[in-house]
Amino acid sequence: MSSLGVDKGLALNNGVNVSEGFKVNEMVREYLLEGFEEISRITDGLTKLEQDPSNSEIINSVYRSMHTIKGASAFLQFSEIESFTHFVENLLDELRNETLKVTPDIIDILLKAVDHITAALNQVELSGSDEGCANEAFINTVKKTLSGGVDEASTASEAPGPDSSLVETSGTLDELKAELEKVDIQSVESTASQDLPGVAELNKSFAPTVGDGKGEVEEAMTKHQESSISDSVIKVHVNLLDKMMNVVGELVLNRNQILQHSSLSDSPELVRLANELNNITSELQTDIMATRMQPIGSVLGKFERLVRDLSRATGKKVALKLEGQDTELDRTIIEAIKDPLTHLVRNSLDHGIEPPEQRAASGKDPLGILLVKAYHEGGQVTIEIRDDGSGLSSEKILAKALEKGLVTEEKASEMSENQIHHLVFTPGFSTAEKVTNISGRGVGMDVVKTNIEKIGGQVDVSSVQGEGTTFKLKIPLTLAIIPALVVRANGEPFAIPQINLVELVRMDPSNSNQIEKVGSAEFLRLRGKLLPVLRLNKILGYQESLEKKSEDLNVVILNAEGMVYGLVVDEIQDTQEIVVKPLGQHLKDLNVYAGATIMGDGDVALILDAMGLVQGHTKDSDIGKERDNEISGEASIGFHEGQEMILFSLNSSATFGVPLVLVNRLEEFKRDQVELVGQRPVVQYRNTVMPIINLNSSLNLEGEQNLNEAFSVLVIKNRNKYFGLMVNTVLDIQVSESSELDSNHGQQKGILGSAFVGGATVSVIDIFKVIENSFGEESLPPEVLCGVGKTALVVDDSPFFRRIEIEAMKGQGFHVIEASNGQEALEKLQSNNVDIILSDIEMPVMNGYDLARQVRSQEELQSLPMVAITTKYDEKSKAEGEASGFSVYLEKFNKEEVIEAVSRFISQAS
Amino acid sequence: MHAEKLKGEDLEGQVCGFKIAEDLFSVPVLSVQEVIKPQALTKVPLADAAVMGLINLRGQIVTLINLRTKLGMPDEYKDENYMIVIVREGDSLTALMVDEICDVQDISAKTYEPPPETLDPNFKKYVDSVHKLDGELLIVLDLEKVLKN
Repeated sequence: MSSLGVDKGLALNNGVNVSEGFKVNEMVREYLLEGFEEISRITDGLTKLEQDPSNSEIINSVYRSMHTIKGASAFLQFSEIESFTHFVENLLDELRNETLKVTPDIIDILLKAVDHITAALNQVELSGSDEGCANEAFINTVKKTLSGGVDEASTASEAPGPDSSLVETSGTLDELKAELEKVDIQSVESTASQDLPGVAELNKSFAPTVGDGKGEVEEAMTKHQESSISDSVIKVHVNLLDKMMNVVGELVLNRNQILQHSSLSDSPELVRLANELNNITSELQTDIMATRMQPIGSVLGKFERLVRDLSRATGKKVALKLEGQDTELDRTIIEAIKDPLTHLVRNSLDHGIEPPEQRAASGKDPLGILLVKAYHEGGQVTIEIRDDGSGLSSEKILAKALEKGLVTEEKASEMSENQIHHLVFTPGFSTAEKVTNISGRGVGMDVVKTNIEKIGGQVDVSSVQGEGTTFKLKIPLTLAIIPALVVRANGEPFAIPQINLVELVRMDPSNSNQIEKVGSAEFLRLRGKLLPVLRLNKILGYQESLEKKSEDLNVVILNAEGMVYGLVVDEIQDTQEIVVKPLGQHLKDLNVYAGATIMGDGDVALILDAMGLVQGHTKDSDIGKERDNEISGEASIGFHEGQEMILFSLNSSATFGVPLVLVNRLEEFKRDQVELVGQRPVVQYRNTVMPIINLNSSLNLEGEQNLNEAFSVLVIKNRNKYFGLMVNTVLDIQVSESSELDSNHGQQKGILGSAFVGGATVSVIDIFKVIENSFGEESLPPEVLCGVGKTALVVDDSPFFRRIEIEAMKGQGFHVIEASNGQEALEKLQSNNVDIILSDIEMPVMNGYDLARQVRSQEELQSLPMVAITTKYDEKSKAEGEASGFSVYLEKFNKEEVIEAVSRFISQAS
Repeated sequence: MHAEKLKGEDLEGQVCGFKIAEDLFSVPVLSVQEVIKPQALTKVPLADAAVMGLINLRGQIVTLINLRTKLGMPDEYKDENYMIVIVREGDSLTALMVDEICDVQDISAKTYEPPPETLDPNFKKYVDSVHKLDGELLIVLDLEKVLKN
């Protein structure tokens, strides 16, 4: 495909469709465009053929054009046009084989046929149907006359007098012509009289022609064609468009430079002209961009056929639903996603949707639904491919991955559901049990992932076993011009693509919200989330200037494929539209840069690669050192899926950890800040007196006392009071590979169990227990226990969180029942009287939403308080949670907040 | 255009000469797009030492390579006392930093010598051939290797 119908979008806007009731869809539009083009080629060819009857090249080309129309008609199931063109094609074939001679009369017949095809295409454009276009009357007449004519012609060639036979032939052809004229009008009449959608329009446009004869027919046709598809579109070579795009890119930069100069100038006229130039350029840029934009429907439309064919081939029943076909993308991107999308659709049909019997057996509608949905979201286009099939089988995926050696058994046992699902993107992975010709021909999901990532997109998969699988592609709108934020480090400008940008944070140094240090790694606490912080100067090898220390700290919060982190820069400037230019081969290896661009002032600026900054950083730093050898996909999901742990050392060879969500702050205190209040060490902290607990003595770990000048403390807030846990050295913050907790280990006093973090075993401390042990219940601030005599049901698939939540509820005097998923919870609910439910959202077998819906569907449980506690905390999930019946939706895990909510509900109930 | 691809003994035609530290170097004239004066330079942190930075050549971004560093010669550029040779290799442009531009010279099999064995191997690997001219030696660089990372 070297050329492109530029103007699909425009054609829509121009209101080409005369009829109101019918809208020509994308495929029919293309068909018509092509059809009209071939028709003009055929007409041209036929007239030339008349001058040069022996030119077989012309006959061949006319034949090919007719064949193209026939093929396209058959594809779109315009069977009447197909049969008619088939007939004409046969005629042409006879000309080709020289069984029929090219005479002006034959040309007349063919031109007549072409007129009929044109009329048929017009009818399709108006009404969307080709009914009545077969024109058998025409065919029969031609056949009848021709068979006579041909016979005579062939006998004539044997006979000595060819001249007379030719006269004969033309005589019959004259009759034929006369008859054809009648037939043509008849066919129009018969079409018009039928009761079809859009026929009223058709009737109108053809009405005058029926009575008044041929001349008017042609006139009406010309009139109609003026507004038709074929005339509103021209073909432009893609190379030309690409070149225009580049030139406009340069013009945009040039305009920026002029604007900058004009702002320094005193001449009002120059400023006015510059502003005008600005407007015109912007408009031109938008228009040129628009020429390259194509609705994604041009790709999605092709799936109708694919799904139909595949479901027939596999014996599955599948309904394809397409949404958002009008969503527009740059054509280069459309080209690039075509194959990955096709693969995903094939994959859903082959592996996702089950055969009808199997679906019926599991209580589903035998008709599977495959939804392909495209929509704009945050400057990107998201495409979802969702099936309601069997979902991904974690066991099968794991077994396969183990068999192929993609993961070690050790690792496999610690992977979360989601991590397992992401294994399908690992190179060399394919779950197809046998290689079918539908999917599984060696092109794996890894290729899909690589191709999408190549154009700056992302792929994600989520699946619930038994319910279906959703693949989500996030695609940039265009590759050519992107909005970017310009920052400075060491005086040099750097551009950061807007797509990676989450927010900007400015911190003044006196603010308590400063950057916290853990080992050599830095972190920023932002609205309850702890984000790793990188310094751009440090990554790029610049010296951190000293005077900066006292100034405001500029932090750019970036999202690199799901991993959110802060980047400290010297200066934040404005956003600009930049044209991404590739770097030369000398710089290709530097993954911290995504390219370079020319700024408004003509200077070159490097474009930073959000993912590359992290990768470049983690190589020589201690954060995430262990993560480098993780399976791919880990980095992007780790921060969301795993459990962040603060790791620290005590007087033991073991590493200890506390879940980050439980720690309020990290502080360092000097020895002389410690005072003794009745045998107990305390420090002044935030206008209160904070007791310090020596974890070594709490855990009975013997060893030398830490005699350093300063010591590290984890600040915990419990029952509205601060506690400081003194540790030897804070080592790191790492993400555990899973939220599993081996609690067999937890016999030791004050230890909750052990978890696997960053490739090592970490003993997780039960901090609430430690606090309780150190002070005893009575020393804690008085508190009304709301749960005495009540029963709470704690539902969470992570034993670790279940444990924490159970402890929290027991602390309130509740009798606690536990369940590891929604299904189990429902069973427990039947045999127990429960006063409140605390539930996680993402769980196997039955998730929290479904649990809530099930609970709410039982009349006696309508008013049972249900508290969702989840890491899946965003507006959308929250809305879904509330809609499904949760009384409150809380982020995991703020003990204070949970207890507050629980006691509120319990007191309301009683 | 074929001369671009030719190497060693087969290389015949014109080369664009330039001086670096008193030595006369050259690249095939057909691979030279233009010669320009020093331009505003954007440094590229973390890049190879021979990469001096990026320049804006009428809207195209071109990497500037310091041949002295590349060839292991002492780096002596102060201020802007250098010239830039823009060379084309395939579709991409690269800028080479040189001391001064010299004449275009004719070379042929008659003037050809293979790179002397005594050259420093780190230098020799970038040398395509040596040509005997009147009174001096002309080193023809193997552009492909110079431009390769």
